[in-house]
Amino acid sequence: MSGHYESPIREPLILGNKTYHDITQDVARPIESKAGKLWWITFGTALMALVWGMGCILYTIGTGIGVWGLNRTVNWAWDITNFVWWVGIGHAGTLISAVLLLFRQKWRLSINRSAEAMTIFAVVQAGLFPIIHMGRPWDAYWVLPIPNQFGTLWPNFNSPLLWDVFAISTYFSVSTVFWFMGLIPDFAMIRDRVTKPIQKKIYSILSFGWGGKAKHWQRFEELSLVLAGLCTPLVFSVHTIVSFDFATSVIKGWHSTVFPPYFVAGAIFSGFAMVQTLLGVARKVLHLEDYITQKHIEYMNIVIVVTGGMVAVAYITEFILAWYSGSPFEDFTYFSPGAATGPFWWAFWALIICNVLLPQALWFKCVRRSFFWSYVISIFINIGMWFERFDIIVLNLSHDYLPSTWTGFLPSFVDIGIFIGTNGFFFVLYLLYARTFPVIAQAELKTIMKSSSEKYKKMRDEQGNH
Amino acid sequence: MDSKRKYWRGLPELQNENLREELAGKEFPQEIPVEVFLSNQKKLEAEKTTRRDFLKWMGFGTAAVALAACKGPVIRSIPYVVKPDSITPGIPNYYASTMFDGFDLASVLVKTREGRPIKIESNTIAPYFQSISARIQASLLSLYDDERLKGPAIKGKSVSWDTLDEYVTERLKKVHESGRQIVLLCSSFPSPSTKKLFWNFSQIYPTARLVTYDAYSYSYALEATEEILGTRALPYYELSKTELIVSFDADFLGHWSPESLEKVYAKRKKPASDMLTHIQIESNMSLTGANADTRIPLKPSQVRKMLAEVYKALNGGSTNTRAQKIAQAIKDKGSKAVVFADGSKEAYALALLINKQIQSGSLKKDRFLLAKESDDKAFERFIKDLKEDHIGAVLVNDTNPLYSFSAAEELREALKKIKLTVSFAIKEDETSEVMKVWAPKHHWLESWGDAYPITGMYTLTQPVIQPIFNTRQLQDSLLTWSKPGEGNLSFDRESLLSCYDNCNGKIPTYYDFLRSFWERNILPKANVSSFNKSLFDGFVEIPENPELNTLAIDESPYLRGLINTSEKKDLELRLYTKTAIGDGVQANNPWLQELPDPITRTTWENYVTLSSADAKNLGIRNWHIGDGAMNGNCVNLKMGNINLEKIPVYIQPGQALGSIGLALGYGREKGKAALQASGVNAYKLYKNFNIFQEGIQLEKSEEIHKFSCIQLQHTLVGRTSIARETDLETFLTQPKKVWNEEEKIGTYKGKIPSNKVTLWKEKDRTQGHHFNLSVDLNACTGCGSCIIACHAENNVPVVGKDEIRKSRDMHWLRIDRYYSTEESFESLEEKGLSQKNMFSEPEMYTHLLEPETNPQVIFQPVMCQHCNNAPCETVCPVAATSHGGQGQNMMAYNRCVGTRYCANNCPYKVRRFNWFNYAENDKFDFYMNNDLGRMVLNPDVVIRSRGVMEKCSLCIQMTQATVLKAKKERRKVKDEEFQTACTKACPTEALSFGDINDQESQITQKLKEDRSYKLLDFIGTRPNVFYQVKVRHSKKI
Repeated sequence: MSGHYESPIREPLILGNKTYHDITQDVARPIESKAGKLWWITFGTALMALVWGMGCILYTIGTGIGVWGLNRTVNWAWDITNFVWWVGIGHAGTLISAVLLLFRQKWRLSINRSAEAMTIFAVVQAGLFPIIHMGRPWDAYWVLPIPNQFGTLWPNFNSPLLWDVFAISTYFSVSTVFWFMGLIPDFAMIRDRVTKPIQKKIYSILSFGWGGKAKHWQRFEELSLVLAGLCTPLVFSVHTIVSFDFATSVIKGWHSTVFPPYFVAGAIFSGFAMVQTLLGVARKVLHLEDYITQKHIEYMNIVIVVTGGMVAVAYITEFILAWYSGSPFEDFTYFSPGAATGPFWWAFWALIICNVLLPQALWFKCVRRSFFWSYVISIFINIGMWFERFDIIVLNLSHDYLPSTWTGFLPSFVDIGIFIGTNGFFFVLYLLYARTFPVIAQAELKTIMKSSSEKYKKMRDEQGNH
Repeated sequence: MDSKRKYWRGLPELQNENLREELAGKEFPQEIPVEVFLSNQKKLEAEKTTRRDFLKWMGFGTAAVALAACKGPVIRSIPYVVKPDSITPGIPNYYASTMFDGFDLASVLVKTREGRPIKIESNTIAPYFQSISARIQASLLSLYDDERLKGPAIKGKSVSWDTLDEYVTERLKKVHESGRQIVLLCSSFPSPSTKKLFWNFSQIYPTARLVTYDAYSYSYALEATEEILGTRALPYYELSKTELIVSFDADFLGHWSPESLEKVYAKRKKPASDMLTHIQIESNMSLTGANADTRIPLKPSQVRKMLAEVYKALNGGSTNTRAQKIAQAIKDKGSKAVVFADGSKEAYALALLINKQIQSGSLKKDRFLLAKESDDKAFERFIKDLKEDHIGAVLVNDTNPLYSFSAAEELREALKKIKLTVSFAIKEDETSEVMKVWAPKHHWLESWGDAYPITGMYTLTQPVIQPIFNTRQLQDSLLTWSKPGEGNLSFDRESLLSCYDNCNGKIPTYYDFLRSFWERNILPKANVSSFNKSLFDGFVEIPENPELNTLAIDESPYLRGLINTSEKKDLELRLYTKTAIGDGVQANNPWLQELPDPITRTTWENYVTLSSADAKNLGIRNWHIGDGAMNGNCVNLKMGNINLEKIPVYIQPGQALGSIGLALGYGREKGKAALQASGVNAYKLYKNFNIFQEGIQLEKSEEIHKFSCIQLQHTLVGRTSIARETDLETFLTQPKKVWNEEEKIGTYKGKIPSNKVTLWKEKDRTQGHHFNLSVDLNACTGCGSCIIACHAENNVPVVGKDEIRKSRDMHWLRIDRYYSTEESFESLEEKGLSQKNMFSEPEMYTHLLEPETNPQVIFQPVMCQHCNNAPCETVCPVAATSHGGQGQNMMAYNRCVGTRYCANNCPYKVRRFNWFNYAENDKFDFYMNNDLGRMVLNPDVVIRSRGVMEKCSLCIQMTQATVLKAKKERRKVKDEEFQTACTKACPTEALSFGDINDQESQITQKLKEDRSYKLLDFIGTRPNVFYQVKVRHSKKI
C-alpha cells in the first residue's frame, strides 16, 4: 500500500468545490453589493427597538429606578437577568476562536468570526446593565479604582460586583483585540478589492498596512496563539466571577459552591445556542450554505448537548443538596410550592422544558444534523437560559429568610422596553457588521482547502480505486 | 372671567386718558432708533468689531450663560440677629405639654429645634398618661399640614378677626334675645379652666349649653360606672399585681381605656411564676386579642352571653362548661383577677359587678379616669332641639358630627337652617363645610390649655411655636365674645370680674385666665411652688379622695340585657378603631395612613374582616398577583336601610364565625392624604353609638379591590427559630437548650455554635462603646409607636398607597406579625409528611403556609440588625456601607451609587431603596412636598435623594450627641442616656438600647439572659440586635 489512508467518513468542511477566488468572492459579496430589502426591514426593526430601549433607559435615569417593577425584597430582576444572559451569550465566540484554536479544531474557521462578533456585541449589551441598574448611574465611575478628589478612597475590593467590573472589561478588551487581529488580513483583502476612495481609505486604515508577507503571517500566527492562550482562561473566569455575584452571597438558592462550573457550562450552552440562532439566519441571508454545513451544525450541537447535560446535572445537584441539607430555608427554596407550583411555576417549567427536556432531542443524529430542528432548539435554549437566570434571581429573592418580607415580581413596561432595546441594539450592531465586515475568516479558511488532491480523489471516486 | 377688565402699564397711563389711547396703538412706547443706529455707517465701519470678534463674544456669552445656569440651588439660611436666650442653634429644647386632640390625651415632652417642634416624646415623670401612642406622636405632623385653615372666614370669605367678632357677637345677642339656645358642641374636653370659662360665657348668654359629643362614644361606659360606682367617669385599673385578665371584647391595649394599660400589662407579662394570664373573648382579631394567652373567638351576641354565663357561673348557676372554666379561673385568682368588658352598658356594668364581687385589687375605687365625658343623651336632645327649632347658634369644637354621626344627613339639613353656626376646626372638614363662620383655632402645639384627665392629676398645655397661621385659640374666641358690660345682657358681674381683675377691665387673654384660674383653684391644693414650676413639669398632682357611694345593685337588668339577644342568621358587626387612624380625627395624617395595621398589616384603607369559613360561603377570596400584591373581592353591605357598597374584604384568621369587623375613621371627604386612602365611612353603621350591630347582610360585588398590604405571607412556614416562643411551664422548668436552642453550624469538628466559626478576622470590639439593641418579644404588643418615632426622628419618607402596594414601603423599622399554623414539622411527620421524604415536601409546605382559623399571634419588630459580619458591607462595590467603631452598620448616603446588592444580600430585608425622589416631588404630594410640611424634618438627619439606599442607623445622631455632651462635661456617659427614637417611644419597654462594653448596663444584663437569641444567627452575621423569647401560658380554655 502506498500513500496514506484517508478515512472515508470525514466530511469536507467546505462544500461546492470552491477555489480561493470563489471564497474571496463569497466573503466580499455582502460588502460590495447593495443591501437587500430583507436587510433593510430587519435593520429598521432593530433600530426601532433600539430607539425604544434608549427611550426607556433615559426615562429610568430621569425618573428613578422606581419605574421598573422592583421592590424592597426583589431588588434585582430583569436588569441582572439580562446582564447575565448577555454575558452568557458572549461566551461562545471566544471559546470557538481561542479554545478550539488551541485544540486545532479547523471547523471553527467558518464560524469563528461571526461568533466572536456576537460575543463582543453581546458583552456590549451586558455591560449596559450594571450601569443603568444603578440608582445613580452618573456616579458609576466610582466603582473604578481611579485617583479621585476624595483622597485615598478606594472601591471595595471584597465586592463581587467590583470583580465583575474587572472581569467583564478584561474580557471585552481581550476579545475585541483578538477579533480585530483576526480581521486584519481580511480587511486587507477587501481594501484591495474596493474601488470607492472612502471605502478604500477606511479599509486601509483598518488593515494596518497588511501586505501578506511571510513575516506578517508569522507574526499573525504567533499573536493568535498568544491571544488564544490569554483568552482561554478568560472564558472560564468571566462567568465564574459573574456566578460569584450569587455564590458569595448569603441568600438561599444563591449561596452555592456549584455555581461557578454550573454558570460556565450554562454560558457555553447558551452561547452556542445563540451562535446557532444567528448563523441559521446568516447562512441563508448571506448565502453561506457551502461554508456552514451540517458538519458544523452537528459539532455545535454536540457541544450544546454536552454542556446542556452539565447544566441539567447542576440543577439536580442543587435539588439533592437542598434536600440533603435538611435546612428548612434551603429546602423550601426548591421543594415548596414556591418553585414548581407557586407563583413562578411558569418560569420554573420554562426553564426545565427549554433547557433540560428539549435539548435531549439532539442525541438523535437526524435532529442534530437538521438545520431546521437545531434552529428551533437553539431558540428554545436562548429562552430557557434567560429563564434560568430569572429563576435564580427572582425566585430566590422573592422568598428569602423572613417570610414577612416575601413578595413577587412583575416587570413594568420599562423593564421590557430596555430588554427589547438591547436586543435591538445587538441586531443593529450585528447587521451593520454583516454588511461591512468579512463575515468569514477567509484568509484562514483558505488554509484548510484541499486544493491539490481534491481533484484526484474525485477521479478516484469516479473511476474506482486501482 | 371678566374679559372687560382693564390693564395698564403704570399709573400715568391709568390717570391720563389720552396717553392710554395713544399707547394702545403701539407696541413700544417710544420709537426704537433703528434708523439712527444703522444710518451712521461711518461710525459703524470705524468700530473694530469683526466677524471673528463677534463670534468670540457670542461664544463667550453662550458659555457664560451656560455656566451661570449650572449653579447649584441656593438655600438661604438666616442667622438670628438677636439670638433668643433660650435657643442655641443645634441644641434642642424640650417643653412639657399635654397633647389633646379630642380623642387622645397624653402628657408629653415636645422637642423643638430653633423654635419649631419636631418630635413628641413621653413626659416620663408624669404619673399617669405618659404612654405615647403612634397617634399622639404623629399629631405633630398635623401642625404642619398645609391644608389647615389660614385665617377666619365668614361664609367662605376671608375676614379679619374683628369683623368676625362683630358678626358673631351681634348674632349671639340676637339669639339670646330670641331665647333660643346657644350650643357649644364639643368632644370630651376635660379642661377645668375652659369649663369655668364656659360657665362665664353662659352667665352672659344664659341659654348657652355645652353638649359633649364624641365620635367614638364612651357614654355607655360612663353610665355603667355611674350606676355601679356612683361616679360618671371611667374606672381606673391598676394592673401591677393582677394575675388574670378576662376581657370580653374590651380592646384594653387599644382605646378601651383612655389611659393606655399596655405599660403595666407588659410588665406583668415578664416571665415568672406569677406571670399574668390573659383570656380574651372577642369577635374581631384585635391588638389585645393578638397578645392574649388564650383567645376565644365568638360573635358579639355570644360574647355577651358568655359574659352573662360567667357571671352566673361565679354565682353557681351556669351550665356552660366553658363559662364554668373561666369562672373557675377567676375564682382561683380571686382578688388578683380582673374582668373587662365592652360594647354595651350592661356588659360594662356586669364586668364591674364581677370585679366588685371578687374584690378585684386591680379596680381602684379612689381614682377615676375623667378624660372622657361623652354624653349621647345630651347629643340626642340637641338633635331633637335642633329639629324643633329651639336652637339659635351652634359652635362646633373638636368634633365633626356631619362625618361621624350615623344620621349625618338629617343633621346637615337642620344645621343649614341655623342662623349662626361657628366652626373652630383647624382644617376644613365635613362639618365646617356647612358652617357659616370659620374661627379656626390653634393646633394644640400652638395653644395654651389644661386638663384634668384623672383624679389627682392636672396637666398643662403650653404653646411651643408661634401660631403659624392667623388662627385664634378657642378660649380666646369665647372670651372675646363674652365681653362683660355690654348692652343690656344680664350676668353675674361679681363672679365674672373676679377672673378679669388682673387685666384692668380689658379682655383677658386665655393665658391670663388660665394662669389666674390655676393660681386660685389648683396650685393652692398642690404642693407646687409656682405656676411656672407646674408648667415646667407639665402637670401637678393633687391628693384627692373622691367620695364613693355604695349603691345597692340589682344585676338582673344587666343580665337580661345581655341574654335577651335574638339569635339571627344574619352576620353581626363589630365596629372598631384602628391603631393608626383611631376615630378618624387624624385621617389626613400621612404618617398614620402609612402606618401598617398591626394585625392585617395593610395601609391606607379599611375593609370588612371576615372569617375564612364565612368567606367561603359567600364565594369571597383574597389572592396574590404576580408582584405579590394582594387582591380581594368586595361586598355590598346592607344593614336595615343602610347600604354601603364595594367594601373590600380581608379574610382574617381568628375572626369569629358569623361576625364581621369594620374600622371607623375612613371614608373622609376632605384632605389630600385622607382622600388618597380608600375606604368607607363606617360611622354610618354606628347606630345608637353601639359598636355591635346586628342584621348585617353581605353580598358579593363584582368589584376587585387592590390591597396595600406590606406583609403577604402570614405564617412562619415552620421557621420557628425566627420568632421564638415557648410556654411558661417549659420556660420555668426546662434548661435553655430546650426552648431557646443555640444555632449551630456543622463543621468537620462537629456542630459548633455559629459564633465560634468565622471567615473573618476578629476585631477587638472591647474599646469604646459597643451598642446593642434588645427586642423583648414578650413585651412587644405591636402598637406601632416605635415606627412613628422612627419616622419623625429619621425623616423617613411617606410613599403612598400605590407604592406600598408595590412593596416599596420605606419604614426603617417594621413589626412583623406571624400567625401560628395548625401544623408543625412534628405534627406533619406523624401524618407521614416529612423533610426526610423529598416527594412529600411540597405538600408539607402547603400545610405550613396557611394560618389556622384561630391562630396565636406573635409580633416581631425588625430593624437593621447591625451585623458585626454584615453581608451588606462586603458586597457594596464602592464601600458605601461600612462598619462603625461602635457596632453600627453605617450608610454613607453620598457614596452610594445604588446597585441594591446590599439589600439583596441582607437576610433581614431591612434596607430601603429610594426608588424615586420622595421630597419635593409632585408625585409624592405629602408633607415633604411643601415648605410648611418640611418644617417637621429633623435637621440632624439628611433627606436621602433617589437612587440611594437607606436604613436604620441606630439613631447615630442621638448616640453621638450623647457622647459629645458627656465629653464636654468631662464625664462618662450614664447608661440610661443612650437611647434611640424607638426605645424612647416604646410604651412597654420592649425595646432597649445601650452599651455592652459597660458591664453594669441594663443591655448587658439583658444580653446575658437565657431568653436572648439573635435572629438567623446560623448565617454567621453576628447581629448587634438581639431578641428575647416570647413566653406564654399554654393552658387552653
